[in-house]
Amino acid sequence: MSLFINNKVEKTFFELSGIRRRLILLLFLAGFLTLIFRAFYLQSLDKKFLQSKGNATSTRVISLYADRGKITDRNGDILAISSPVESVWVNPPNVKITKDQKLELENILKLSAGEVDQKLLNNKKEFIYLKRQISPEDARRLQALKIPGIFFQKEFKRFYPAADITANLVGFTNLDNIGQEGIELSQNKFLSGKLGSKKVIKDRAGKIVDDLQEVKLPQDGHDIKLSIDARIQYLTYRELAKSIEIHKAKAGSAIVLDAKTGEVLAMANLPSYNPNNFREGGGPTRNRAVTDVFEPGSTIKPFTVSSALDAGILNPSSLVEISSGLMKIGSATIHDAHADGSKPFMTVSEVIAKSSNVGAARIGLMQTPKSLWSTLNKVGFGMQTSAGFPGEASGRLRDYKNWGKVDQATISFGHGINLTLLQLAQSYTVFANDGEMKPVTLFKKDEIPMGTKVFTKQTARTMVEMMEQVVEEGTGGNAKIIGYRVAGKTGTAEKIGANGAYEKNKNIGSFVGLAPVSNPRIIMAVMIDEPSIGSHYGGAVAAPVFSSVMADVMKILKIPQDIKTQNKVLPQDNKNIKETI
Amino acid sequence: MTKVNFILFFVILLMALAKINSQHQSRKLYFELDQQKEIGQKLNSEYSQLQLEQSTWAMHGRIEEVAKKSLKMKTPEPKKIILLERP
Repeated sequence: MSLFINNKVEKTFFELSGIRRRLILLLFLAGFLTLIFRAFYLQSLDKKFLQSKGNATSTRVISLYADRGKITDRNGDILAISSPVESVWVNPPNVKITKDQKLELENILKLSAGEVDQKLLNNKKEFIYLKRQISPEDARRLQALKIPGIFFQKEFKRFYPAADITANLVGFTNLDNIGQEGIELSQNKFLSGKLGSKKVIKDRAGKIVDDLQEVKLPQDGHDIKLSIDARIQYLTYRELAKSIEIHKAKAGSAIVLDAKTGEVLAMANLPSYNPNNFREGGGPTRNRAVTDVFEPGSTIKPFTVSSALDAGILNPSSLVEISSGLMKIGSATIHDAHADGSKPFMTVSEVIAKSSNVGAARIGLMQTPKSLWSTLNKVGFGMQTSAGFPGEASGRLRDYKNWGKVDQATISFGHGINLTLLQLAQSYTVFANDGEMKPVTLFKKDEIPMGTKVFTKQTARTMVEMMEQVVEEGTGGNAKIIGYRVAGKTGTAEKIGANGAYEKNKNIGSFVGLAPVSNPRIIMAVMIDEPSIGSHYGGAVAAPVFSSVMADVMKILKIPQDIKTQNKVLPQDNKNIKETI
Repeated sequence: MTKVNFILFFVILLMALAKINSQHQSRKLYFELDQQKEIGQKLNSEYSQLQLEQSTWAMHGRIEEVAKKSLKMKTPEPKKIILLERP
């Protein structure tokens, strides 16, 4: 039995020959070796390539957006802000669009059929903007159409709520958020944010599941607080526009300064533009108050006279010969615009009040050229202010060594010298600060800056009182405001034409003044370029702007009145008493 | 010896599973964090839009127009203003 069983067992096994067994073992070994070698190859030799391929399918570098800083006025009212918008781009070969969808697309993007076709049929590029910076609502509507091949890209667009009112000052950015004009240009670095990025792992559904520790945090740009007060800016712009409309003038500028700190509270220019839908190139983007120079005319006279008072050559009641408003120097004749032929002499006060060119020329000639020049130089004429505005002009004050007699006489009443409105406004801070000039600034200051002493306190106070007479009984009557003592000076200058000669019918009317006289807080300078209807004198075109703005500024800033209305002789129905908001 | 190895084998298996689990948890949390950050960003965007809207509504020109036209407000005439002296 056992044998039988043994036999049976032996029969079930199949005896391999030694060689065959070894061969098969060898084959298995070779197979494993191949696998091991392959694994080794993938793990070490080809690792870099494979890992990069692997990462390419799951890791992405994502940009992190950084905000451009806001520009606000001194009270935090927004003048420029970035808000997210979407830009639509297409990959033309991939676009599959039905007729209805295309109509809808044209409708949402407000593009013509031709424009859309031209972009979609352009097969050479793989990236074409269909339209940049559309509103988030439009983007949502477009996304709902689910057109393949159309993509969205988040961008930031700059908005300017005050639009044309601050346009020339604030400026604007281009589509890529780089400042092109004004504060946006000069402070571009400070305002711009720095894009950040991070490397992340995405899963199959595109969800971000992890980051790879390679994070570059975005840096938001800084906010800028201007010295501008939006309420005063609005008023100034509105009143300037009114005067330009009434007198059909070509352009105009106005500046309101805080007399004590040199901060610019308002800087308005016309013509202006709307920076919210402005196409680069062309347009009235200049900030004329800073970039354009003009001959100031009589607004210079207070400096000529103060210089003489300071040197002790004259006192306010000294008599100056005005020769019935005509004066010959060499071949040149100087004459007075507001001449009163009956008077051969005027007091110094009257020279200012009546704005006598002859009187100012005589007072100018009483001084050495160096002394007059040094006064004009000290109040900042002929050099850029500290405002740091792009494209600022420095004006022109020639070296006194090259002055002839005629030059000295004409400069004394503001001809043969040119300056910007900002320089003019800044120079008047000497009268508001007892002879000390404060540097102007466009940015909010927390402390009062140091000034430069130009005149003695006595001279400055005397001059302010003389300028009060300009408003009380001289050429600046239109500058009066109820309840406040006002001082100022009118100016009217003919413009110099292309041929270098003065043009009779092209004038610039200006007015610079301060209030309240008892403790000057606000300085305002107004300039109207080429008024063509009615009077062209500064007292008629610029002084009314001053009085309407100033009356409201006094209320806005809660500056106490310095004359009691009841005691003041001012007709109650005076047209110069302006409506206020 | 074999016994110890056997135990260690299970320990390492357990550790591996724990690592996988914690990695998964961490990714889930990261995803949540990322979503919250996105919400934060959206709220920031909305805030800037609202700021813009507010400042547009509050433009002085518009306030003036509303005051004058729909509310019929005006500045009192100078003779109707009485100035009080501060005691």
